[in-house]
Amino acid sequence: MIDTDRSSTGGTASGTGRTAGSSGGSSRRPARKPWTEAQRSTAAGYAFLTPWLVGFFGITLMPMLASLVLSFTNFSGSFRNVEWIGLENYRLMFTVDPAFWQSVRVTFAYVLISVPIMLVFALAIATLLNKGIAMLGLYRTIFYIPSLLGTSVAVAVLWRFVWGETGLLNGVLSVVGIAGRSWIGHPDTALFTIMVLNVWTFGAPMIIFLAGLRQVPADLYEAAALDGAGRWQRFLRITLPSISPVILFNGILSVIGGFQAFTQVYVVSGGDGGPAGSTLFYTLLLYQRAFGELRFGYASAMAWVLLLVIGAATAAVFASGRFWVFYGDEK
Amino acid sequence: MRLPVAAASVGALALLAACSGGDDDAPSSDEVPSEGPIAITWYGSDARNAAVQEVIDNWSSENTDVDITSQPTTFDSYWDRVSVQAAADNIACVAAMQSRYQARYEERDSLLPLDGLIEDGTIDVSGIPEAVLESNRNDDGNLYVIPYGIWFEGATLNVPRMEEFGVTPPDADGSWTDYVDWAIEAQDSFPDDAWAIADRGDQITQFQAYAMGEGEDLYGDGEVGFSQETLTSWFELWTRAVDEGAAPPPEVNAEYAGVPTSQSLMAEGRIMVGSTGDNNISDIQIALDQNELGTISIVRSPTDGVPQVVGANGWSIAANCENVADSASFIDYFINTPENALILETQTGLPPVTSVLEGMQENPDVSQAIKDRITLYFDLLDQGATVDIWPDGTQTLVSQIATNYEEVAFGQTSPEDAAASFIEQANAALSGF
Repeated sequence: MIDTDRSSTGGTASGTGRTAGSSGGSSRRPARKPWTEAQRSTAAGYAFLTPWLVGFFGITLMPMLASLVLSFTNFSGSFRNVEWIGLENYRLMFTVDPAFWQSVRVTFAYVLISVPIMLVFALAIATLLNKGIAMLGLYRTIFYIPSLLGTSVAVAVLWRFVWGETGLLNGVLSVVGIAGRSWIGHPDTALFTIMVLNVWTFGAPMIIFLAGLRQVPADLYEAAALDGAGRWQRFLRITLPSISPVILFNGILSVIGGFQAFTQVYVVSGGDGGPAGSTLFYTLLLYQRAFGELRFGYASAMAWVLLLVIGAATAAVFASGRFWVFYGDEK
Repeated sequence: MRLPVAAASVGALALLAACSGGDDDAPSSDEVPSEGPIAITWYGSDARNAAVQEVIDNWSSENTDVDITSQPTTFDSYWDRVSVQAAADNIACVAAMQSRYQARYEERDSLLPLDGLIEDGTIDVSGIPEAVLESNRNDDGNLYVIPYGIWFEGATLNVPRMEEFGVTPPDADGSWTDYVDWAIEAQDSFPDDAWAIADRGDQITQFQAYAMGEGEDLYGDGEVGFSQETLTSWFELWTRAVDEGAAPPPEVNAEYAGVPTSQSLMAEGRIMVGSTGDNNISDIQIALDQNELGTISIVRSPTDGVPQVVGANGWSIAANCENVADSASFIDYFINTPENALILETQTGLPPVTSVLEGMQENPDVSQAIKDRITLYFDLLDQGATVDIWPDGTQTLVSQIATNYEEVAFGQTSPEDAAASFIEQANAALSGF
């Protein structure tokens, strides 16, 4: 009602205004052109978007551009001695920094191994929980809890308790006569324990898989069963194709998260990437260079290389989707 | 935490905060700003932080017009936070520094030169031994940090635990080589899950003691101050100890590398000889007492007779501080008030003022363990010990030598190659890479 009144008033004023404007020197203010419904809707949309826009430009885009500029400088915390050094940080990274390639190897190993395992595990648990079992909500909550704890300092203590020299695992192994080792302290197995920690925090993809599984039409299963398809066949031929967009979505999120993994290795390794550099993740090295050594320019260059790698990996996963992702509306 | 965003934010902080840096001149008390609140930031365990807070509260009760904010945190996270604050010219007015870290902030103009405030008596440093105070002076001639707690590293021995297994303690005046020789001989007397000596191969401060015994030091003029042969022999010394079973296997050593001293193998009674800072002794002893696993004592660092170095925690005033007058007043109060030493109980290190230390020695309420440490500290000063200020860029070498040594310990490389690799990286760091 209010909008209608304002619209009609504006319309009248608008016509008058144009006349006044053309006559020149009139004391009457030129009336504005009335907003159309679409314009008002757009303005309201932008008004609601404002908090996000402020956040995006102020907290994300501007700092990113600032770090891009800094990546071409030797900025180390003081603008007094800052110099433009062009691509020198990138040259040092690829040709001089001895830890750079080690961190690349560790990070790719982590992403390529732990992400698929985590997705398979999450899908398996989601499939089990989709059976309509009793107390489903309780199980779902229990399985989600590790995702909440997965990056806390308490988990670092827990991980030593499980994987340490006198840890739980070795206690179990000793019962069956197997001599254990410090799994978390040996370079051959330390990264493996971090991967297990990642798999352990499968709660978020599991919830998404569960939502996807709920959307698979039941009549497809019924028809397949009537045609004699077994449980495994139904999973391969109906479930997987039906939730393939969800798998793609989870895969992309997990790959991005894998490349950015930081907190779990920081708390478990004590921040040094040991033993013998076996858990020196790219993000950990970036953190050391920035906050340990105050080489913000160099760390900014590392951040941009990581951004490009994540972009390329995401694009690759997207591109691969052409061959295995099935959308229900495809002909 | 998502690092790309964090790293990007660093850039933003930096660009957005392009304010003024430090002043090359050292202002006197009538030239410094004296209005507004002050923040005080420092590092330490919960017990240490509570003691420092009590001192702050006492000063605050005498200076009710000053609005004070406390920012305590753990040692590791402290330097991350100060790094970001330095990039944004937003360091707390009174900021704790440490002898191994302060150079980076001094040379980035993040700290205020204090000489003017010292000369006009605002901060009284007359009670601090000259060698201790002057070793903090930067190459530019300015003094940016006033020590508030002195600590020294030494060899630690659990003599009662050794005697429990019928082992005679080692000679406490030798070198690390002497200790390892003793450990190899003594190991047979200890159970399988206990070792005669801790593996110190990854400890840069203990390598420093070893290098000093060889007539060398960690840092020279713009490059490392030791030879590749010395570092190689250091790595070989400790791999020999491990191979002989006198020190823990490398995976156990790596597992315990990052744990607090109160949870270390020494604190678990599984190590007979180790090393640590004197101000960590009480934490280890508490853990030993809980399980009746012996008593820890500290002796001088195994430098083979060469005067060892000491470290210092110190107070600085940020160049961006807007209430320098009250900040200076607090620092003066902190270091010169004898009652504060009794509150702090040396948790922040030994008080730097000699008369305060002497007062503690005469005080019947001060524990004998603290009095012994004070006596040892006076001995070290008499022998010529100075505060060891590390050059800018070297902080990363603490973890770097650990990585290189672990590569040797796990058989991934030879001691020679690891030593060469470490020296190359150390020289790169010293050159500003």
